[in-house]
Amino acid sequence: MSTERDSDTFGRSFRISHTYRSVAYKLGLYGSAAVLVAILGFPIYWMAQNAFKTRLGIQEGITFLPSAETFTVEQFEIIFNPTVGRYLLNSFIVTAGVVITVIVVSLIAGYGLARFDYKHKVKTARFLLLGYMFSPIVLAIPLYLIWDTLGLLNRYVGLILALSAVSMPFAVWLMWKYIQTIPESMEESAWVAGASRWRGFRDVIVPQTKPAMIANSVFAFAIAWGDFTFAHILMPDNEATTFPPGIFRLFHSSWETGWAEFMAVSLLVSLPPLLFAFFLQSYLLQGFKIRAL
Amino acid sequence: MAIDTEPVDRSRRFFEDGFSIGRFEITSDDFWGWLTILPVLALYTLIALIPIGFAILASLHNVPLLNPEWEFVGLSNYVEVFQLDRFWGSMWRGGVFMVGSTIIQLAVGVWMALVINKLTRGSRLLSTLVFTSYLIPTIIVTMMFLFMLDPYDGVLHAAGVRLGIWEGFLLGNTSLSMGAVILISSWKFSAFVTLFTLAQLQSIPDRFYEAAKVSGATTWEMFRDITLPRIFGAILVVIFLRAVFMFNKYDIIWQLTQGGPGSATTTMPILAYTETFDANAYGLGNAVAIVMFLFLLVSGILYLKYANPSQEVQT
Amino acid sequence: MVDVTIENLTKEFGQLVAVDDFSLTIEDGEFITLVGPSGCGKTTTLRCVAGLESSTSGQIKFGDHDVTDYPVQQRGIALLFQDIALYPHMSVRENMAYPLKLEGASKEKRNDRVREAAEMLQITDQLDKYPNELSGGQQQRVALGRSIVRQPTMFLFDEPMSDLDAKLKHELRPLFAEVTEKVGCPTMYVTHDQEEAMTMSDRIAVMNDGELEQVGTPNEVYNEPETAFVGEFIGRPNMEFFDASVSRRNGSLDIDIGDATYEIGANQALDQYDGGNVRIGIRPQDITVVEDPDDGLTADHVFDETLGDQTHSQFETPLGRITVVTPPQFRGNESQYGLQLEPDYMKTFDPDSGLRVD
Repeated sequence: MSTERDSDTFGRSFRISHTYRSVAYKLGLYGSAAVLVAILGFPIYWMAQNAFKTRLGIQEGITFLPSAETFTVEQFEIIFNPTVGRYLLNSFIVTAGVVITVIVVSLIAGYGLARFDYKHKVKTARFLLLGYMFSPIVLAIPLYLIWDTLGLLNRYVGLILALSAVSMPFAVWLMWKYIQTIPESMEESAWVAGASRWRGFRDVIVPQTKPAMIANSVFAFAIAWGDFTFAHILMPDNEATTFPPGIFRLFHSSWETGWAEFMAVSLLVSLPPLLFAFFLQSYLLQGFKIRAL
Repeated sequence: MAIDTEPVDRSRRFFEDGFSIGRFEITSDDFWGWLTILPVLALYTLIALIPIGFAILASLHNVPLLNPEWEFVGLSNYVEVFQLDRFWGSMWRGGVFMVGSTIIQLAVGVWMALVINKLTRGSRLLSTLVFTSYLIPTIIVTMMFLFMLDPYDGVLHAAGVRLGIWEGFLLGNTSLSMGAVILISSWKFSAFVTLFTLAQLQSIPDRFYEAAKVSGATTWEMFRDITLPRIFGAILVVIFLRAVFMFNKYDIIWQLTQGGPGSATTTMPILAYTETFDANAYGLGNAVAIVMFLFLLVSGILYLKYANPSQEVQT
Repeated sequence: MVDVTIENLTKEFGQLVAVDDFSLTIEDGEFITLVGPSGCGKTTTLRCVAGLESSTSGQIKFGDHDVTDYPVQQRGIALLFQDIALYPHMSVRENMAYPLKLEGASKEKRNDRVREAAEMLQITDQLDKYPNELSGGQQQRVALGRSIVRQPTMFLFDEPMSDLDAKLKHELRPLFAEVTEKVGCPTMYVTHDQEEAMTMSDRIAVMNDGELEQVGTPNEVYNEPETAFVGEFIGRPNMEFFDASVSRRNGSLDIDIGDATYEIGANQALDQYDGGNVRIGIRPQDITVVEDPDDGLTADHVFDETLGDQTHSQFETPLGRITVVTPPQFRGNESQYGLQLEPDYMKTFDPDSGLRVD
């Protein structure tokens, strides 16, 4: 492409076709980008703009922005609705529990895989990969009766355990591969200075795994925050369930709640993923790079 | 600082040198290694192994959900399942859903990855949208689309009707609802393919392209000879993962149509759920789940055996 | 402060014997370099002494204390790693204070000791930076500082300069010597670079294939190598070796190298080789080039490497290709010459065991 500006006669005969090709390439590239942005962005834009309309504003017909008469922020009051508030609170608790469990367990297992040379290690790691095959619906159906017997139905801990297990194969692999990139001499120099194995792990390894911990937390967050199947089956009580099944039930049972309110609460629930997507995308892509290995 | 002359704790030798039980020698690395992996294995046992064993057991019984009495019925649940028309129907529809959504996700996902990888300006906006669609809860996606398809206030509904593509509620249309569910699922899940492929694209060293440019390769030739072979392994893995995930997809279909209208979008996961919780036939539901699990197991073993992801995708 | 004694140290990894019956005493304040080719077991020896590897058999003593079973944490050593191993998430000050923090030293004490060490190493203005902001040489200084903030029982270096360029090596060598001198404890320095070993050490221990070949001052190992391996490994350009036969004439012994004969008089040590073969080693510095091809070993000149202060000239002889150190102005022009070996500087080795026999 840099030859376009060259004015020597040698390149002249190629110039036109080359320029055309480059224009077509740019057109294709930016055209594609525009189409994709429109397809991906439109539903989000539509949700966002309708979250700021009055109920009447939505019923009056399709508009692409709220007008002065139809603009309102009242719809966000739905989160103070005791039912919806309860769903959100439950989602917060479960998500926090899953993220913490995943970080701690993956750190320990990843460290073990990276630093101890134990029997059947590679086989075990491959077995962990089978965790990719965990299907929420296949597991949730038998878990329903097991949890019922154990009294874990409608309990946070039951859901947290299930969702942590689903997040684990990826988290452990990521942490394993990440810790492998930290030279062993870092820890050894801490031991030489008098640090115990645990102290070296805490002072030297853990602070350096920050990028992997961030990626793991966001992926675990996405699984826990968005989970519908497990929560729907394992948290049958309205009091106990998380936001996704909760709002689904509300949607099918309440005729008093309007589209605007659903869009408002949807927008709020989408905010954390939106912020993570914008600010943490390099960490997440790094995570996918290791996932592809 | 001098040597710490405190006598060496004898128990420390155990951690250093390990110990042996009979013929089994357990080194210190074995001990600590297995100890660190133990929480994960315990979690797997509790959430996967026990439930699957339990499901196999339950599938051999007649279990009314509200009655704790199990009645042993042998394989008759399976016999019944295989005789059910709706089982074979759901398998067919599940296959359509799996193949259709995997193909669309693959095409759109790889296309998006190539575009993001080549964009010099605006790639941040597009990749933020891609990540958002990946991270956003499925229920939000279905709420957005249900709203846009609403027969009274929906913008997509209005557009579709104006263009004469459909009449009435799209997801209530027996012949179109499966297509609509596939497209909406693809909106949500193409991002996985994109991120997987993009990660692979970005790990191709620039020097490969520089070397090709020096020898006069065109953009197309570089794509064909460098990019494509490099991402081919990743694409195989992603096709496999997507197919398995989509075959087991329950949430997005249930949220959009609950398997309807009629049984137009009842795939196997939907059938397993309704048999268990709506028809109260827990044993039968488990039998369907076990059939799905066997499908997963066979795919998983084939995957680990033949695809060997760790070798194929190496850079 | 104490001597460090290593007795009959052996380390096996499965079938592989990495260190074989290694014994060495490092006196208090002494700087000993362990030198050898890669894979010779020198780093394994160091890691056993440090306590990072447990030995298969043998003893390690610090003074009277048998520390063989002590974990690395209890040995109170200082160790400088090949990859420097500074903690990227800590500032230079935190890096250097970390050993003191582990000891539970007070904040004032930590600050004092870090400042002291930083002054000695001339890095006081770098204390608030992070390792990735420092050059390779500065990072080495910080790592050195981190290991001397507390008085070590022993100082260990694991090829700390092998990733650095030549200029930096020259700059750091005197610094290492100065700092270890000041700390004053026994020092074991591992390297594959014989020049480093020659310039820095009180004594050199040459290792090959898991075994200790020779221990001695730099002059001893250079001038009186006990094995052919030591002769070849120490000194540049490499020592040249010739297969030679020994014969007795009139009560004195002759050594025949190719078509040249050297009379070495009576030598009891070589008596047993009468009528047999030996290997003769001689340094390229001790070979003289003469114009007459029939004087000494006949050799065809191949090419010259001009170094400025001397020239390394290569010759093809019936006994193989040979390097000779010639005067700076020497230009061979690919003609034929004679090579004369200085009998006084010839070292005689057993052809099978490689042991020195003269």
